[in-house]
Amino acid sequence: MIELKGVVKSFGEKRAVDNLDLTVEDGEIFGFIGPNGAGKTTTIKMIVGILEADCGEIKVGGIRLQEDPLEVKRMISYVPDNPFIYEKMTGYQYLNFLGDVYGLDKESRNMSIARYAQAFEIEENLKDYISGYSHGMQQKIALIGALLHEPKVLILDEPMVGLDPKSAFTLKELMKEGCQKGRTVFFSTHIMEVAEKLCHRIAIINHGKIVAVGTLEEIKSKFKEDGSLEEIFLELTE
Amino acid sequence: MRNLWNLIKKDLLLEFSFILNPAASLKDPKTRKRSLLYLLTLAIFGGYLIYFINYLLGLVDIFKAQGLGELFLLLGLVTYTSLIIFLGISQVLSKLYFSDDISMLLPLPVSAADILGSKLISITVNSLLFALITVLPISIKYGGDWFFYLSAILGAVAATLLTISLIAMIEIVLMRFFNRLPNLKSLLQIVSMFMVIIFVLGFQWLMKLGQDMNISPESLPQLIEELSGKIYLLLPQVKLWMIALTESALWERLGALLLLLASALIIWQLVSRLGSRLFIKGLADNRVIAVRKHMLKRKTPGVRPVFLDIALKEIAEILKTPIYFFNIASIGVLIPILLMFPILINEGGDNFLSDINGLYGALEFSLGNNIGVGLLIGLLGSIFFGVTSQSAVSSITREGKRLWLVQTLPVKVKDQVNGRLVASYVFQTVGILPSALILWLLLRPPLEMVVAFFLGVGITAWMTSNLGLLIDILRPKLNWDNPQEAIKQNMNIFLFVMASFGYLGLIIFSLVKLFENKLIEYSSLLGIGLVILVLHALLGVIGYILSRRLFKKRLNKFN
Repeated sequence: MIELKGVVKSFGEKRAVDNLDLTVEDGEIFGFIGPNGAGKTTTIKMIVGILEADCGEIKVGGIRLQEDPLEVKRMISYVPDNPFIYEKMTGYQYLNFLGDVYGLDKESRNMSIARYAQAFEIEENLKDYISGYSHGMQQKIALIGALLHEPKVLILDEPMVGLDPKSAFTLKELMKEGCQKGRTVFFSTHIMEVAEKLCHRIAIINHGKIVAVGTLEEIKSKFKEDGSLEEIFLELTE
Repeated sequence: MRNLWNLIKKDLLLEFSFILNPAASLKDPKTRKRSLLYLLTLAIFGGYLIYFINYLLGLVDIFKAQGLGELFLLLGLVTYTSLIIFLGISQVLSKLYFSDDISMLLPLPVSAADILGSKLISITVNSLLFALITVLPISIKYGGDWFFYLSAILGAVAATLLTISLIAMIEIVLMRFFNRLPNLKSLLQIVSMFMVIIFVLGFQWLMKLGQDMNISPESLPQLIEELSGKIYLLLPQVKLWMIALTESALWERLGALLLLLASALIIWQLVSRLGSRLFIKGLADNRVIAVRKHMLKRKTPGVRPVFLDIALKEIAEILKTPIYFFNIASIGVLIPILLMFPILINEGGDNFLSDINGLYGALEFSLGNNIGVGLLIGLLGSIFFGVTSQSAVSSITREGKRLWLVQTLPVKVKDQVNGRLVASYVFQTVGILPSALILWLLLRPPLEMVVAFFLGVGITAWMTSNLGLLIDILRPKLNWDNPQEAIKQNMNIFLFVMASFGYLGLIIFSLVKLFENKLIEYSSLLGIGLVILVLHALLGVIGYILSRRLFKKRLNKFN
């Protein structure tokens, strides 16, 4: 579903992403881990079209991002690590704006809003201004906005940050449920336990390069049979 | 087209959220306060606005009576278009390059052309608010047939859209070259603030030139024609708008209006479509932190007293943040320039200066009188020129979301308070220096007067800094998203400045009345000065004690 070939991105003299090759399959939950400044967010921003790669190719659903960015964006939903949401909109107004942009009809939009608002326990607050929401509530409304149009690809940057345990559990369940329906989930995280338990495959990035990729078992067998993901991660990113 | 409309709808909802969604606005404490502040500001400035519109309408009558109605209409359109250009430069930059909104929109399935197009429309709608207080009342007063009113409204929309689109195109091209400059946002803010000053001073200078020109009634038609020709060359949209408003043949007017509308739509579409790629490229590069090739070598600082560290942090923050710099550090320089410039360039300037010298010359010079006058000018003048340049009244507010640092660092309350007072003291004292220099150049006062002046300045700075800090400790505005909001939408600063000016007015009024009724004489000035000096010093001490006590009590209640 997601394919990156020889992707490079530099900021001044610093090469943030260095000749990155990566493939994420349909219906896969893919964990992207790495230390701070390793290139995780830059990679994600290139996939969703916020940053332009210096060179290389990015494909989503077989479509080259450079050729048809709008078609790619229709398939994707993205929640950044610190989501900016329109504070002067109410929760409903924000979700309706996204519904309009994705061209959702009224019925399916209302059904999705009701379903996800209930799942994240935020129904009571949808009529309030987002400026009054806590960080966790803003994270929830951003997640609902991302799930609203049932995207083929869900890209999340540090999605668990700010969520209470129950909401984090709900999100994980929704991620698994989406995958059963064929949705691809690509997310970055610093929580090794989440990556271990939730992901079908994991990639470890360091200094802009992929240093390990595969299922947890594949990574363990290649680097440290009896080690935990945390130990392998620390060793590879030293 | 659907997405373009969605984006425009979203922008309008965000811009006018209070009007479009008052229930939610009033429910949330953050937006409630902001909305009430807007209403209060509107109420205060509403009166001035009505006065301004009435003044404009009065001018229409005067010009029409002299057969110059058309000229006035032209000047109205030119003023409006100039205002749009001037304000559009910063609006376009801020909406296109310094708004988080664009990052939110980029991953959505909306084209860059739609994003750019919608932004241009929302800036146009914002700008049209100025038409409501300039073009619209002038047009209504000027009067005409139904097509005149139609042209006034549609012409305003088209001329604004066209102007904003052209500004956007120029800025999009320029940002491809300037987007990698370090601290670009701060740099642009400084440039735009200087532009405001140049605009204000330039406008006054042009008025003066206009006054100096000897225009005979015979040469007036030719002068108007020449002036119109030059304006039309610079602003062709104004020419089309004027034709649509004032020509006699309907077909000519209709043609001009249609041409203006078509040009606006075509240029808007061209800029949206052709400029979008360049815009996105410039935007992406703008978010890249420019790398300084030559890093400055810094000396490792020695161990300093904590209060001094806090003072230096305050001073550095104010100097490095353009909004703070212009509102606090430079106000002492700007006020004298803005006040003195029109006086000095006008013919009345010489009279004004000789009046001042006359008043000063009428003083009975003696040691006691000199000290009294110096003290009073220092004590009262520093309220007028210095109160806005003190930083203590926004000291806690400026901490904003970083307040947790203040709350958790092991710093004594005494150091927290003293550090903030020292910084405020520095700005207030430095802020009065330009005004003091001008006074010194004008009056060449004796030494004892200068010393007394600075004593007065010092004691007043002590009082206002302490009282300012006390107010900010009592009700800091910590929930803000940008420095502009912290300073410009801060009720503490507004109330403090108003109260200071009210106090100043009261003292001056009382002094004048006492003089008029011969209850005091020149020889009483020293005594009065000393009484005010003691009052200011005492108020400063009370402010200081309360600040220290309340800071300790309220430190963990700030949130």
